[in-house]
Amino acid sequence: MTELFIKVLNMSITATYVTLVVIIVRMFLRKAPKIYSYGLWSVVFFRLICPFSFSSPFSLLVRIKPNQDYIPSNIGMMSKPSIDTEIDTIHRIVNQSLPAPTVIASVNPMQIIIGVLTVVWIIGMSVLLLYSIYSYFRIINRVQFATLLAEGVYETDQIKTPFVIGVFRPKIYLPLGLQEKERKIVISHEQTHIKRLDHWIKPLAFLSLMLHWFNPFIWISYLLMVKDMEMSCDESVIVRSLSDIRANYSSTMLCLSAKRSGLLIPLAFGESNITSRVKNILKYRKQGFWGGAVALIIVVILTIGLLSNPFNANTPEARAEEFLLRYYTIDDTYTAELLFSQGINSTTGGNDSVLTEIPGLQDALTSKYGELMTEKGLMESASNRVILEGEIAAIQYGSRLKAETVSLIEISEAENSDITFHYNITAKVASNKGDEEAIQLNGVLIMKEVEGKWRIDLFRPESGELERVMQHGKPFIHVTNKTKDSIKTVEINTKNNTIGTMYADNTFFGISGTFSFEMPYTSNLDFTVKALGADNNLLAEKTYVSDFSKGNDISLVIDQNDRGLFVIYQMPTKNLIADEVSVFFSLMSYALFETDDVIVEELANIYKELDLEPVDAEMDIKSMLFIVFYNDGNPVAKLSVDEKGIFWLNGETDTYRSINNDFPYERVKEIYSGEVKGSQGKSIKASP
Amino acid sequence: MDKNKLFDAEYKFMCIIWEHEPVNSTELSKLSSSLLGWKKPTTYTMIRKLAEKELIVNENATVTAIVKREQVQKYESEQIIEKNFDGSLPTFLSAFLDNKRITEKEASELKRIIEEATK
Repeated sequence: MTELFIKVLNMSITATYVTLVVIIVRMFLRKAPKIYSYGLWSVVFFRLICPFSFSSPFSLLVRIKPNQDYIPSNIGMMSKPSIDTEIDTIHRIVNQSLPAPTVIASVNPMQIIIGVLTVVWIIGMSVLLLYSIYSYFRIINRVQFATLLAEGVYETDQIKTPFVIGVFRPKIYLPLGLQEKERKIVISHEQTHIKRLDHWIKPLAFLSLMLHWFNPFIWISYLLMVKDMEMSCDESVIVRSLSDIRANYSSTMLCLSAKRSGLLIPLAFGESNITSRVKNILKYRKQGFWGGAVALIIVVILTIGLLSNPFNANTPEARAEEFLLRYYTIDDTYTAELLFSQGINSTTGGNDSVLTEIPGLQDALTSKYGELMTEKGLMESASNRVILEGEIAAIQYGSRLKAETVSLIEISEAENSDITFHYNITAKVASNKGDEEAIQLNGVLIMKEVEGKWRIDLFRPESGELERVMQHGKPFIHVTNKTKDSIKTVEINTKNNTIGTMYADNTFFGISGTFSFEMPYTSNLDFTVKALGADNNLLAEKTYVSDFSKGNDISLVIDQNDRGLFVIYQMPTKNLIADEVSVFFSLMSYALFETDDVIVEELANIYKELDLEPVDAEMDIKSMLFIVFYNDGNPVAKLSVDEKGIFWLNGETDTYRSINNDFPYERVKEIYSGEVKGSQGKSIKASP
Repeated sequence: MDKNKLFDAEYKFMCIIWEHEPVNSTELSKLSSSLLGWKKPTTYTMIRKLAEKELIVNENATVTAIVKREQVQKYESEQIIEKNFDGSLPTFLSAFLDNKRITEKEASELKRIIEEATK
């Protein structure tokens, strides 16, 4: 709902600009038939209800750029909220007034403000809606006993002014006691309304007003639209009458103008703007051909100009946006396949020469990005491989990415007029399973003007972010090589098939390189990890049972110990997701069971920070803390540690120690003993 | 409220009843459908309203007027004179006759009425 509100807010801003233009143009069209002014309001209406539009080179909204969100939909989450209206002073004032999140507050204050505003918005709409429903039924009730006068025309003494009501079978209601002459005029006015479908247009316009009730400009435009509608209807009646009925028409209108009713008046003959309408009728003259043509041309130009969004023009923002939308929307895997065909399938490691030697790669990149980037920008992004990351990620993780909105914040303008932007992209990622998730991506761009066009001179997405996003929610085994280059192959096998083989030649699985195997969603999967040497000789092998049903990650390390033997061991996973934890101490029969988010998070963070290495040591059972993390009731990680900092992992008895020696043993002990005495503690037999 | 005070719709409906009474209510709803453009429920609501005001009775689906047409007309015209002519009949008449010719017959009828009223 908040997202919808922000969308409406953005539409409201565009519509306000359009309203202002229409109001100004209306002044110039004062002498022209009112049908032209009336027609112009359709653009405002379109902008009020439609969040997007087509692009045309004639767009008059180049300055304000309606295809870019003024208010990003993730404003509640931004670390430095800002709004991007193109009018400089407004921009500055508004952005200074936006609250920045404080570190202590757990919820961003902007998020709260937007939430409150959304609620106010909904309440306002409901009030207006209820009020209009109430008025509608009140009026229906009032004309309940109106009596038939002619086809579709009724008469009653319960009303003072004539009007039309009803959507599908509109009926004209007249007050009692109209002279024959007056009655004819009134009926032809109301019939003109019906013929022009004004009885549809007015309620629809009011509905769009309800959506934007907080914007006074939209109220003004609604009232002016109604006025133009009536005047143009008056004119149409006069034009179509055979004789000059202007005098009679205006005196009839004056007669019926006595009473004004509420806001949501149905289409009525005499109810509003009497003075200006009478004046308009009396000075109405049939337009000459040229006068009409000029007015028509003005209206057509303005309609197209205000209806359409500008083409991505040659502004730094527009060009940056075009590039980002292209980069973060992965719809073909051509480049990635090129890389794969050459055995390059990771973004880590390697060197420039390998890339430039791939036939066709340079052409592929140039055809996709060449127009939008400087040569230097493209070369750099290719050699540091950021430009390849997205496409590789797509083919590697089987996900698809589609960028939806871009917001840019200008960070600086250099002396040579290069502009640096921080960008934030909202994109949708679809997994193979068909579920979709909205994600945020950030980075930095530098724009440079080359050959008269703004181009990307430097592209720096936040490191590893795309890869992380692509992997999100999928189970992985991450294997890190800590040996000195002596492994040729790493294989992960399950009972029936090989999940993945990774060739540990120098190209990418270098020293301390990590490779990720995507695992199937399964619980209790047996898998074997094998490290093979140059002659496919087995260096090390290990079998694990693990639960991959929740998108759990396993981190494995291949290393050589002091005696030069190869070992495979499991590291605490960095992607631990836990909602529950239990802590056992030594051989005590009391354990702590904890679902308090704060405690679970604290312990999970300690776990994630651990960097372990194998060590020959004895576990001191008497001082041992045994911690088990659960997610959705399934154990997802286990850890034992004694007071000397010796670890067991996942119920195995291989011993490890912390490389940084930073495990807060006393703190965990304190959590255990502090809480176990409270009501949370339960008595069970501890069996680590 | 005075029960003789009728709204336009009520008066028009009463006129149909006066002309056709006693009239079957189904018949009445057909009549008001063609003459007043009313749907069935509207007619029945009106019948109930007028019955509550004790202007008509609706027994065994037959509607009859209690109040006579003359009574209502008398009341209405009194109201008009009261409201618009300060209750003065001569003012009303002169306004009514303003620039209008009346026939000999109408004139003698009027004379007769005035004489009868002053006896």
